[in-house]
Amino acid sequence: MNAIETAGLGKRYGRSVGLHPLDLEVKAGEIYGFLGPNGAGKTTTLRTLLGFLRPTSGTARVFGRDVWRERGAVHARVGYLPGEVHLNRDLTGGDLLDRTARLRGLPDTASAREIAGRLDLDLTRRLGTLSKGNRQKVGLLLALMHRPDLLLLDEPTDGLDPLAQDTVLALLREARAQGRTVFLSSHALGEVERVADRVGIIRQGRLIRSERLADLRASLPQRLQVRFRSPPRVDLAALPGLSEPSANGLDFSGIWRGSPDALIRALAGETLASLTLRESTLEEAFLGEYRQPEPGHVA
Amino acid sequence: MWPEVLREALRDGRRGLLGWMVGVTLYVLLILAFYPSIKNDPAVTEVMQKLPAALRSLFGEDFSTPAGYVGGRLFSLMPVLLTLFAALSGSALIAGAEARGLLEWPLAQPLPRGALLAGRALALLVMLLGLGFVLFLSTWALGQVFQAPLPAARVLQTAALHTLGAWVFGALALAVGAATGRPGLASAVGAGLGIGLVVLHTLSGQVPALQDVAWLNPWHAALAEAPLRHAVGGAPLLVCLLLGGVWVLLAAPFFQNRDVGR
Repeated sequence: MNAIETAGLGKRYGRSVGLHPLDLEVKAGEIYGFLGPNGAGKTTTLRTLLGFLRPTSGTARVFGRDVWRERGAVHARVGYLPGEVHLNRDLTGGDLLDRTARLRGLPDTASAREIAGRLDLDLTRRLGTLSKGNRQKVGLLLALMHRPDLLLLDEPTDGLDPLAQDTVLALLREARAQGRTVFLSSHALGEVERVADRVGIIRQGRLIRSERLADLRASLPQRLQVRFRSPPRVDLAALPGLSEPSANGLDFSGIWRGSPDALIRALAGETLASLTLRESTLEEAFLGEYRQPEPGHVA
Repeated sequence: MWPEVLREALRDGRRGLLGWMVGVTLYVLLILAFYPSIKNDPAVTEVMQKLPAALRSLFGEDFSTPAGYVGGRLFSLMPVLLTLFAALSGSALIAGAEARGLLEWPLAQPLPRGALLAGRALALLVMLLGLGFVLFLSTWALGQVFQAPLPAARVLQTAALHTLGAWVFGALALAVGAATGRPGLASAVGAGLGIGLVVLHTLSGQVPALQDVAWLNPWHAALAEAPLRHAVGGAPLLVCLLLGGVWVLLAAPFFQNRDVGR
């Protein structure tokens, strides 16, 4: 059974569209990176999955349960970190752990306190006195403390220092190792690249890609730079895999797509001073997706 | 589920409630402290007799007896004060919390929205009853001190009627807030209607047209009798209690079926 399954899930606010009909599958036990710039519909998707927002079309299921009609059953298996953590500022982190434990019927808060130690978070301080990063850590604890089968995290490392970010990503990998599922919404591509098994890219309320991170990477354009020792006889710009050619004396650069096989064969007769074929980062690909006016294809 | 919600709401609201309790006690002290000097002053009674009828019905005509003074001076403003507390607290409990982003945490727990609404509505009722009890205690005890002794049972019933009258409008504010998620609207409807109807109730003594429809006014149920002078039945208390409950019940399906959060 999939951890998350949506079919034509859409959300309209009056005339404006929060989310175009979305078909999404997140398998149990994977880390799914949900990428998009601010305002793309990531938070709307998460809030719909939590049953905060009523879908205006389609359905969404979490472990087979309808997220709107069976909210309670869904919430029992889900841990949620909102994009902006708003919690009662008069309470301490410890108070909130105790309250969550009581509402969820947990025997104790030992696991949360262990995680708090790893995140270097003081649970005795009132939330009003904590920095944004430390409030974010409290929010993370509340999402993680009952060891949920599915973590719905909206920008989990936002506002954290690099050390804490590493700890959080390690916690997510541990959750996956225990067979739990992570749905990670982010605009921080670096962090998604470090942990995700699959990624979905959302733009203006539409999911424009959803595939394995390795496949996505393989399909990404690569940046080619060649320096010839002598004027080349081959016309690289004529090769089908090449685009955006730019020649400047003995230097040549362009964008290469697909297997480098044809490229290497074409260069075999030439004498080269240097050759680099650099993989795009997800960031470059991602920005590429956003620059295209229509949902298009990079590969 | 809801007992836990109730407990948390009471814990979170206790500081504000304590402030209101202190304020009410100080107000009672201020009013009653003047009683010894007023009760023997015939000039005051004379002034009262000359007041227009509408004001007399608000303040009473007789400041020379404890029941007349406490009813006219002290309790005349109580419906307004208690309604303000009830409506502001009621709108804050769901809609206010929602506007501040504080509803996301409880609603992400396996807690039915209905249980959240029930627990917080009960918290409002308990806080109001607590404030009403302080009103009773301070009025009765300070009455003993400042030569305005009244039977405890009369003061208790008067305080209870005022408190449950305010509950009607506090529950209304809570219900409007839960149904719409708009705290401004919720407190405006609760406090505006509550205070407006107090005024109407006061005027209805003079305006015959209003008397015919007085039964529509919840304050009529709570304040029509003179509980400081003689015992009134339990029916007005029950009517107010149930009316507040009805608002909350009516709001429940709206709260359960709308988008929540910011």
